[in-house]
Amino acid sequence: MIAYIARRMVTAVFMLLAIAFVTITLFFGASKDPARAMCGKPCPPETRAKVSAYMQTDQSVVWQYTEFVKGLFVGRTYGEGARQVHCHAPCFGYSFPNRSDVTTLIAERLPVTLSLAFGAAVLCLVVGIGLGALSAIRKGGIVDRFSTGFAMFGLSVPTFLVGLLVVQVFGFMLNALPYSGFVSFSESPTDWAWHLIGPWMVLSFILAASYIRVARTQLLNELSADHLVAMTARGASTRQVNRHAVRGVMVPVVAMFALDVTALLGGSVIAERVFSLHGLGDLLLSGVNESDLSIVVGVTLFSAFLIIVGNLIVDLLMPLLDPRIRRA
Amino acid sequence: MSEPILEMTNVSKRYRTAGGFGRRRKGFLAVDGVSLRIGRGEALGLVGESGSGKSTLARMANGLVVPTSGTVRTDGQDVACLSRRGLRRLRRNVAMVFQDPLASLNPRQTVRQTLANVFHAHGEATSTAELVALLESVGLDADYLGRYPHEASGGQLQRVAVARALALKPDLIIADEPTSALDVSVRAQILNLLADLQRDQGISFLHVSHDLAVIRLYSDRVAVMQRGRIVETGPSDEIFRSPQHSCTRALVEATPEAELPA
Repeated sequence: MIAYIARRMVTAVFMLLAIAFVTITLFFGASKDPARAMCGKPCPPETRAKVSAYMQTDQSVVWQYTEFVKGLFVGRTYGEGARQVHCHAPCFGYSFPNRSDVTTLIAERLPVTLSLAFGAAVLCLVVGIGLGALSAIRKGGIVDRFSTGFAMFGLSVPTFLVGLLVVQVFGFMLNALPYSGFVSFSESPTDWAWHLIGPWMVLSFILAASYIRVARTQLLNELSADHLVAMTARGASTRQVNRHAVRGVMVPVVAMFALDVTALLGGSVIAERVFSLHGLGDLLLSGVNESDLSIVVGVTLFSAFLIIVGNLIVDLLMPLLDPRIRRA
Repeated sequence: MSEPILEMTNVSKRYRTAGGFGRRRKGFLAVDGVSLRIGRGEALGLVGESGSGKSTLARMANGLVVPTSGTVRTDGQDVACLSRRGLRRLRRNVAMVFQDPLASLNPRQTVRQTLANVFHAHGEATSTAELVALLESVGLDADYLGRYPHEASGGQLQRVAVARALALKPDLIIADEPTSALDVSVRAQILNLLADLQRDQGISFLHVSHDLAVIRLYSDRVAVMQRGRIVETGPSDEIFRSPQHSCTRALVEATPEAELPA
C-alpha cells in the first residue's frame, strides 16, 4: 500500500515536470514576447532587449525550463544590483506586472477559489444525487420528469448564460443577492456565504446535471440487478436492499466527483468573471491578457497538480468501494 | 396427502405494455389461468419454451411477482394477504436459485457476506462454523468464504447460490433455470446436488427449465407450459415416453439422445 502510494507520487512528479515542459515550451516559445508588454508605450529595441534580459525571456526554452525546475528547489533571482528581485523556493516564476512571485499570487487567490469550489461541490452532490435517486425510485414520476429536463437543460446551457441570468434576476431585478464581491470566511461567515450563493448556484447547476444522470441510471441498474432481487427473494427488507444498491451507485459518483472537485479547485474562469470574484480562474485570465506567462504556467501547473492528486485519491478509494478493483 | 407446500389456483398475470397516443394499452398475458400443486418433499419440473411464462409463474410462489388474479398459497399462507413482514418470513422458508450465479451474487461481497446476509435479514446470528457447514453441504470447502464472485468459477458460484438458498433450512426451493448459464460439464453436478438435497433433506422443489432432459431426471412430476397455460402435467417418465400435447412432443424431440448420468 505504502509502496503503491510512493510509486504513484514519483510518477506524479515526473508527470508534473513533463507538463511544466509542455506549458513553458508552448507559452515562452510562442511569438508573444512578455517583455513587449512590460516595456511601455515607446519601446525602442535597446530598452526591449534590456527588459527581456532582465525578465530572462531572451534565453532558449530549454534554458528557461531548467531555470524553472531549479527555481522550484532553490529559488530564482532576476536582474542584479538595485533592481534585483528574488523569488523564494518553491518558485513557480515571477510576475513582473504584479511585482510578486507566482506562489504568493496563487496563495492569495486560493481562499476565493476554495470557497467557491467547496460550496458548489456540496450543493451539486446534494442536488445531483438527491434528484437522481428520487427519479430512479419513482421512475416516470413527476420528480423524474422534472429532473431529467433539468439535467438536459443544465448540460446544454453555457455557464456564462446561467451566470448572467442569475446576476440579472437575483442581483438586479429582485435585489435579493449581491452580484459581485467576496468576503472572507474569517471576517464574517454569513456574509461569506451570502456573497457566494449566486456563484454556487450557477456552478452546481451546471455540475449537478451530470450527477443527476449518473445517479439515476446507476441506481436504476442496481435496483434491477439480479443480486438485489436475490436478496429480496431470500427475505431481506427494502432497507437492507437499498443499502446495497447505494454502494453500487457510489463507485462512479466518487470517481466523477473527485475529478470535478479538482477541476473546480483549479479555478472556474467563467463563473469568477461573471461574479467578479478574484480567484484562480480570474488570475489565469489576467495572466493571459497581460502576456504574463509566469502566471499562466504557474496556475496551469497548480491545476495539473490538483488533478493528479485527485486521481490518486480516487484510485486509493476505489478498492474500498468495490473490491473487484484490485491493484496489481 | 398432507397440505401441499405450494398451491396455485387459477392464477393469471398480465404485464402492462407501453401505450402511446391512439393505442390502447392491451398488456401482455404472461400467465393465463394456471393451477398448480406441489406436495411436501415433491420435485415439480416446469418446462416450456422461452417466453412461455414459467419464470413469472415461479416468481409468484414467493411473492416476487404479484398475480393479477387467482390465489397462491405457499406453505399454507395466502401470499396476497401477507404483510411485508409476513412475506419476509415466508421467504425464509421459500428460497430461490437464479439462472446466472455471477449476476445473482453481489459482486462486491465475499461469499461469507452473501451467506451471512441471509441470517441478518431474518435477525439471526451466525457463526463461521455454521457458514462452513453450509458450504460443505454443497461440496465447497471453507476457503471459499473469503472469495469474491469473480474469484470462483460458474459451477462453484452456483453452489454458493444453492448454499444461500439452503441457509435457515427452507421447505421449498424455487430453481429458475439453475443450470442453463453453466457449462455442460458442471450441469450434472449441480443437478445431482439439488436431487440429493431433495432426497436427504426432504426439501420440495419447483424446478424451472426449458430442457426436458434435465427435468425428466430430477423431477417427480412435470408440467409443460405454453403461452401462459399449462398444457400437460403428469409423472415425468410418462410425459417423456408418451407426450400427448404437440408442444410437449416438440420439446421431447428437441432433447438430445444422450442421457445425463442419473
